[in-house]
Amino acid sequence: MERDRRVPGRRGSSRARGRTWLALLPVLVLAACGGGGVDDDDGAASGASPTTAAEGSTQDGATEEDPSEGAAAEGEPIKIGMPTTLSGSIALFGEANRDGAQLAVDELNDAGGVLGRPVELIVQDDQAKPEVAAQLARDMIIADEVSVLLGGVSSAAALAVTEVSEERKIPFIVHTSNTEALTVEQFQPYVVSVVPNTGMEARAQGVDLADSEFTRWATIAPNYEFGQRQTGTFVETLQRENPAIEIVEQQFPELGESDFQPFITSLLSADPEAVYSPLFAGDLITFTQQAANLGLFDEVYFTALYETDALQELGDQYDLDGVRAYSRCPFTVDTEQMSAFVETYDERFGEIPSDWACMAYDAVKLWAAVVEEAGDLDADLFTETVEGFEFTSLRGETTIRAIDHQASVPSYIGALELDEDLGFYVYGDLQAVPAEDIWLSEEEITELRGG
Amino acid sequence: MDAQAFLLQLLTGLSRAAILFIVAAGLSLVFGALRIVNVAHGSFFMVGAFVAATIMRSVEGLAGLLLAIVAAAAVVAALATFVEVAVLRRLYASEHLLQLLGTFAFVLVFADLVQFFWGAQPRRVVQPEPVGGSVAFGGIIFPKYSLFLIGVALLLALVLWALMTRTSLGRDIRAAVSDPEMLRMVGVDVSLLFTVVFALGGALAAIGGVLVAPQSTARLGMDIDIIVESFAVVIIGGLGSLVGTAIGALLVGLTFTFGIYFYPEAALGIVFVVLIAVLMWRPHGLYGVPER
Repeated sequence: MERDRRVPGRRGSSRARGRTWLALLPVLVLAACGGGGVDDDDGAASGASPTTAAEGSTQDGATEEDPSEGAAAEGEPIKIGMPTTLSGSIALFGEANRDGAQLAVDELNDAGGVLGRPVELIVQDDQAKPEVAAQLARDMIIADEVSVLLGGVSSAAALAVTEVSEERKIPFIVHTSNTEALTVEQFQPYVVSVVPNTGMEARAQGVDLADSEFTRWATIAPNYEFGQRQTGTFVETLQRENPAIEIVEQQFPELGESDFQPFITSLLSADPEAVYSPLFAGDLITFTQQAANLGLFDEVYFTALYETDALQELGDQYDLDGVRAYSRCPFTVDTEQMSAFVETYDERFGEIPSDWACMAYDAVKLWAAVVEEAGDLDADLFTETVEGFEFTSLRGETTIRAIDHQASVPSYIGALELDEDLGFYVYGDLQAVPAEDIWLSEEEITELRGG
Repeated sequence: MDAQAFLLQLLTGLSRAAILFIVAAGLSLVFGALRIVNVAHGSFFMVGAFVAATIMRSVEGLAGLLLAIVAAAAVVAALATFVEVAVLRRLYASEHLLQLLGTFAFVLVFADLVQFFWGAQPRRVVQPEPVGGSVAFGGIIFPKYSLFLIGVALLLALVLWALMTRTSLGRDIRAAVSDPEMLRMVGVDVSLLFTVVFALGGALAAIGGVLVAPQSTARLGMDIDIIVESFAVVIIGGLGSLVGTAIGALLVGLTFTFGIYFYPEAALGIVFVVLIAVLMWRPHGLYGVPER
């Protein structure tokens, strides 16, 4: 595939923008005095206006493209609601969610819409808080009359939104948050998942690594639902596959920790042969630099969720050669759809799409395909249609399993190698562990749901 | 625990304490003189880190780091001056809750501004050459940058101590801590003094942010993360006391790192147990004075 895209320094004008600081001081005054922050507890939530990029860019896209491909969409727009995280430490993921979904929506509109109607995406900031996400979902359903909800970044938020989806009978497609509870214990008929869940991901790693020669393992994971669940499943799988494996140390730093050094030194002192970590994003970048300087990568075999964003930011300064990386939707997947997507995304946003953009794009496209097949927006009809539905995702052919509405997407694993042209590490020898090998069996699911 | 493990935890603890001290010193200084708990102190820290990310991408080496320190301190001092003059000044007579909300409003405003100017991508800052990479000694490999941080914190502690005890500004600040009314009566412009102290506190946070950036990243959310531990430090040390802050930082840093080693499940909890124990023994912190 083509690889000559400009990546580093894409926000290069930050210095110029820095100078506007002072010019913008009056804005600050207004914000401070006007908002007051006193009487409005969810100031930030209600202040985040129905974003956004949505409407403006829809029009750009629609007018610039040649409309001859499909009949122009007419009538009231069908609305898609997406509460995701646009502020705080994981805002990067939410922005990618928004951009990926918007690209899919624009493509749908250019091709004549869905059921002949235009599609509109509404994105709002859930601040990674479950209660805010649930409230946004309710508002989107009641005030904006959205026909489908898309998930966001945080698993806790997704668990809150899935309740709203069930209560209001509105389909809910998760694409980034991936706790297995969504499709197992907390499953409800209107939820669909296009992301490999925590269980699949961790089992893929466990299966992949159990055969390795390493028997002394340690783990380090962010201390919340996702990190604990993923680590638990990984360890379970590893030890089931190879009972000789011993876990010598487990660390759970807080999400957003800026100093992993004491954790890393504790790991090193326990003398493991290999370390597993579901750290991600900013945390993983910080961890990687500190671990490199403490010699961790020289001493142990390391494996973690190095998604595209983290790899780009890390660049080529540290030697990560051979570090085992896993990814949910890497831009290097070899499908026609992915190549086209990467190209369009790069043209539009000037960057390589991350896993989070890729999966949000798939979520929108899946929803549209199901609705077209069903011929109606009815939620129960959606559920009926989606079970066993076959769909061409960016990651290739996938089927939605009836029992848990989990897409049969693989989990990707590769060994990092430096791509000289891109200037950062990418997944070498990328393997796709098929969903069938790593998802829970129907019996296991029934049992976990309490029979 | 063998000698190498002990040395590793000790040194990581000291480097953690170094950053905590630099950030918490500003927080404590502001509280001591202005009696305002500035929640937006973490925001100044974050702005400092992002300024460093911008400058150190174009100016390499120690020169870049020095330039970043000067620039971040200046930018944040200006922002802090604005915050103090435009808003805080009107809140000194108000109840604590209103002050807290006032500074909290700035946490939200600054977080949005930082995201607006710099975007949501965490920014990695390359460690300047002479203090980047690692050094091997005593059977361990240790990052040079962490050793550098410990040195910088010691230097800053010395500078602050000299400022407080050897200059007229320091004398005024100390007087303001104990009795601002009296200070006003002897003809000192207390209003100006408060602005200067607030700007100085902000600059310290910004310097902390610059120093942290090459070790971790400049990223959204770091404002909130630092503020919790910094509060623990100043509360243990006693709000307003420089020596107390230094001891608080060491106590929190070392308790945490050794806690991680021995009781990984409860390390942060242990820090707060220490906090509670100190408060039971000395309700105003180790070196604190009762509120006037």
